Amino acid sequence: MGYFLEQLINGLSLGSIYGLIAIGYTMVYGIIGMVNFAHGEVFMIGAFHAVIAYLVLQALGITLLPVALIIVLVVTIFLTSAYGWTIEKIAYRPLRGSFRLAPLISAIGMSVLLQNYVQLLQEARPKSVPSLIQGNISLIESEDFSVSISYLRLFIIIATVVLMVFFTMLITKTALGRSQRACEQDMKMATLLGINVDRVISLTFVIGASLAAVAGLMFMLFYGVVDFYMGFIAGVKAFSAAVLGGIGSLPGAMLGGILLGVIESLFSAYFSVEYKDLAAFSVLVLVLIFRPTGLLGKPEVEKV
Amino acid sequence: MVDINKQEKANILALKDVHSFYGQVEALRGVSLQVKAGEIVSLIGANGAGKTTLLMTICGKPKAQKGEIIFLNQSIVSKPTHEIIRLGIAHCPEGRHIFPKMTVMENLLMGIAETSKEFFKQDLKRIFDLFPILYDRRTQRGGTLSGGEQQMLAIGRAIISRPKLLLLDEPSLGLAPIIVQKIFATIRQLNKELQMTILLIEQNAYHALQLADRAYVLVNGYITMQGTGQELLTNPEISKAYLGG
Ligand SMILES: Nc1ncnc2c1ncn2[C@@H]1O[C@H](COP(=O)(O)OP(=O)(O)OP(=O)(O)O)[C@@H](O)[C@H]1O
Ligand SMILES: [Mg+2]
Repeated sequence: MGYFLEQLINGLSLGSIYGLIAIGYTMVYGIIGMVNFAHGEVFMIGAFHAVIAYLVLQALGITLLPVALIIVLVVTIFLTSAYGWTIEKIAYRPLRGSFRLAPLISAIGMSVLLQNYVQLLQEARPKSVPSLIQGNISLIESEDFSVSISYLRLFIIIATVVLMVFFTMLITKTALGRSQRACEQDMKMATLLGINVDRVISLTFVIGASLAAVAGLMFMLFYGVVDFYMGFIAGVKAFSAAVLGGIGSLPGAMLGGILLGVIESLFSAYFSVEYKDLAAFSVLVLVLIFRPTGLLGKPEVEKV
Repeated sequence: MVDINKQEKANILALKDVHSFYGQVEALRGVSLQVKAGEIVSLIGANGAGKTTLLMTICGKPKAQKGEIIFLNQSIVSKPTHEIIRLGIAHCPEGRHIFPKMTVMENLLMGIAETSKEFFKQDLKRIFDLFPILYDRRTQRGGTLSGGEQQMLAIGRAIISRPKLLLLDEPSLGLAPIIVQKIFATIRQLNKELQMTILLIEQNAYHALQLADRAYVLVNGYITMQGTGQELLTNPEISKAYLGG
């Protein structure tokens, strides 16, 4: 029982990371109907920025953990979202209105380009950082079993919850969020109401990249190593999470991410680590067979 | 300086020889028209004549390939749509285009999303006075409203920003006669009580001409006739082609 709970918490923290990346896929799909294959690389770039920012702070002698974390977080979000913004501007915007496959091909090209770019700048060797958040907190201690959770996982889960609350408010309560939803539901009408659609699309990429940046930082804290190739598998998983939850649905992306993370953790814990990805993707396939639109996705309804 | 009073009938909008295309297809072939302050101007024409295209071209979607569009003394042909709208044009498009997953309140908020928020409370009250049903439905999703309610919402969303020019594209389309009456009464009320300048497209030529100070007839992308609403109503050609008699 204790082991199970610990693995569940493990899965929740891993799933939080997937979910944060998945939101970027789902938002971009929702607004311009394309899969941004370069989004995994944005996450990878976020992780690199986190490592670099941390090493710079260390060199400067700023080692007080909360201060260092906040600075790393802000710097990482800022720089990574600049990448997200630029990618949309140079790789997708010029292709808007051209045939449907064009931006997808451009996205694949962007993904390869970014991998090579980071490989050139940072070398292929994985970069490692010492684990920053150490220690455990004991949740349950009884005669039969004990459950403890590491501060790191606690940090990841709490940070994700805070971020989700903030993000939900942004989308449901602010003018920016309304414009975002308006463009998603009826872009032509949004323009006719004076919305600058290009700006809203840019902001969507910036928001997606910011969340991916936070996921990158969490990944760095969680695993302590980053390499130029990490965006690929994380991207595939997060995209699967988005599809699992129902592409286009924001709560779906988080739900899909968490489900995938939990399945992966539990499968590794009880069956085999080697086949954890197989388990995760089997669930994806199963869900899609019975619910092609994903868990929270709605079938395309015609608009009035 | 020109005397303000003499400008009473100043042009709000003027189109000069406007051409507009969808790909190779020329949908407007040199349209010129004017809308003056405080007027209701109607545009009538058969299906496919280019009426919708004309209103959309004013908003820059598609852009006029040739010709000039002047709104409040400035040229707007080369401006992007959102900038044209922000100058004070509201477009209530064909088919209503309510945001289906947004509440009535959110749909109305979209009408002022990019303009002044100063008067929002008063403006909202004005809309709810005009269409009390929208107040009752304010938390309901746009997609679940009836056709008539959606049309009221579409008009409410368009006028909440106090536009200097309101473009209405077939507001009566597909509605029950009693709702149609209500919509036309509202248009008259907006014009008389709020001095709103309106450019109206209608399939129902009789209503459109009755309501209009002036009207234009559009055929295959050309303006073929113009005059006061009364003139056109009594014109035998018009009554044969558009009034079913
Ligand atoms: N998006 C488009 N792409 C290509 N052609 C179009 C497009 N929209 C309209 N057209 C064509 O342009 C012409 C004018 O269409 P428009 O919609 O302006 O007519 P309308 O007068 O509004 O007709 P209705 O009364 O049926 O609404 C038509 O021949 C139509 O087929
Ligand atoms: Mg039309």
